Amino acid sequence: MQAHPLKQASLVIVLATVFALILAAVQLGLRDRIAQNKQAQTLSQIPLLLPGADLKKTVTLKAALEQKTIAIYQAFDANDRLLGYVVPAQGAGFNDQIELLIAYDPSLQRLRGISVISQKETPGLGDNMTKPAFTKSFAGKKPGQIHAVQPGFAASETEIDALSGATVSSQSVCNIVNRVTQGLRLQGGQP
Amino acid sequence: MQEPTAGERFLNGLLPENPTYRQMLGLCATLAVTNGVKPAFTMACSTGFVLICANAMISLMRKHLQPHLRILIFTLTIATFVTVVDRLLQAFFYPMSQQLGPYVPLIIVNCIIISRCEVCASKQSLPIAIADAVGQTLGFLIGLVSLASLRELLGNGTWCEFEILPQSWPRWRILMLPPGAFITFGLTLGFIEWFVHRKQRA
Repeated sequence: MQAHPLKQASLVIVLATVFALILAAVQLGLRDRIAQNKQAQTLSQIPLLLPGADLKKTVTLKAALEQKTIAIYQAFDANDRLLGYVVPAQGAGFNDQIELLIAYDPSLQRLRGISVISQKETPGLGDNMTKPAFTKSFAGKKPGQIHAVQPGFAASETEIDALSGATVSSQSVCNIVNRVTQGLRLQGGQP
Repeated sequence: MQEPTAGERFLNGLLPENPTYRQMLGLCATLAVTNGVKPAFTMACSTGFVLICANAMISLMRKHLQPHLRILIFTLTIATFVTVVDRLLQAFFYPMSQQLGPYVPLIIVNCIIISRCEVCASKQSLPIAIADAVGQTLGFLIGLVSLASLRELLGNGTWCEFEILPQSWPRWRILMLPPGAFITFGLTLGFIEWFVHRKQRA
C-alpha cells in the first residue's frame, strides 16, 4: 500500500523549507555587497563617459523616472566645474534587458555618450553595441527623438548609424535613451 | 556487482571516466567558457563546489529517498547550491560573474552533477560520495583547463592573461570565438580516442 501523499513528500517539504531559509540568509548577508559592486562598476564608467571627471567630487542626486526614484550622478572636474550627468537606464533589447549609462552635458540637452553595462544581444551582431564605434556615436546628439538609420547615413543630430545586421538592437538603445530623456525629472524641478 | 570503493571512485573521475572527454557531459558550459583559462577555472570550481555539496547532502539522505521523488530532491538540492555559488561570485568576484553571465545559473542543468547523485551518492556512504565528487571535479577541471589553455594560447597568445607566445605568432582568433570551441574540442577528443585505442591494441 502507498503511504499518504504528504508522508511521501515529507522529505521534499522539509528540504524546501530548510533551503529557503538558507537562501534567504545568503541573500540578506550578501545583498549589500552585491549592490556595492554594481555601483562601483557604474562609478568606474563615469570618467570614461565624461573625460576629466573626478570621482571624489561626483554627487549622487535623486531623480524621478516613471513613478520611481532613481540615483543619478552629477560629475565635476577637479576644479569643481560641472561636466554633466550620468543616468543609469534599462529597457528591452532584442533578446533581453539592456542596461545602459547615459551621459548628458550640463544642460541635459545634448548627449556626451553612452556605456553598455549589460546586454545579451546576438553575438557578433547586436553585441557590437558595447564597442566605442557605437557608444561614442551618441556624443553630441539631441536626445528625445533619436533613431537608428542605415549604417553610414546618420546625418542629423537625431540620427544614429545602426549596427550592421542589428537594427532592432540599435533602435532598442535609442528607445531607452529617448524614454529616459523624456521621463527624467531631477528632484527640485529642473528637467 | 561490487560497488566501487572511495579510492576507485576518486581515480575513475580523473581520467578513466573523465566528465569532459570520456562521459562527454556538461558540454554546454565546456564549450561556452573555455575561451580563457580564468573563466574555465572559475566555472570548474563553481561546478565542483555544487557537486561536492550536492553529493554529500544526497548521500546523507539516501536512506530516506523515495524512488519516484528522488530526481525532484536532486534538482532542489543542486538548485540551492547553485544559487549560493551565484551570489558568492557576485559578491566576491563581480567582474568574473559578469563575464560568466548565464552559465553560472545554468550549472543547475549540468548533467555531471545529477548523474553523480544518481550513480553514486544516492547509493553509497558519505566518504565515498565525497571522494567521487572530488574526483569528478578534478576531472572536469582537467577537461576545462586543458581546452581553455589550447584556445587561449593559440587564439590569443596568452595563458591566464599572461603573454606567452611572441608577437610574431599569428593569433588564431577563431579559436577564441564559439566555432573555436567546437574545433578544439573535436580535435582534442579525436586525439584522446586515437591514443586510448592505440594503447588498447598494443
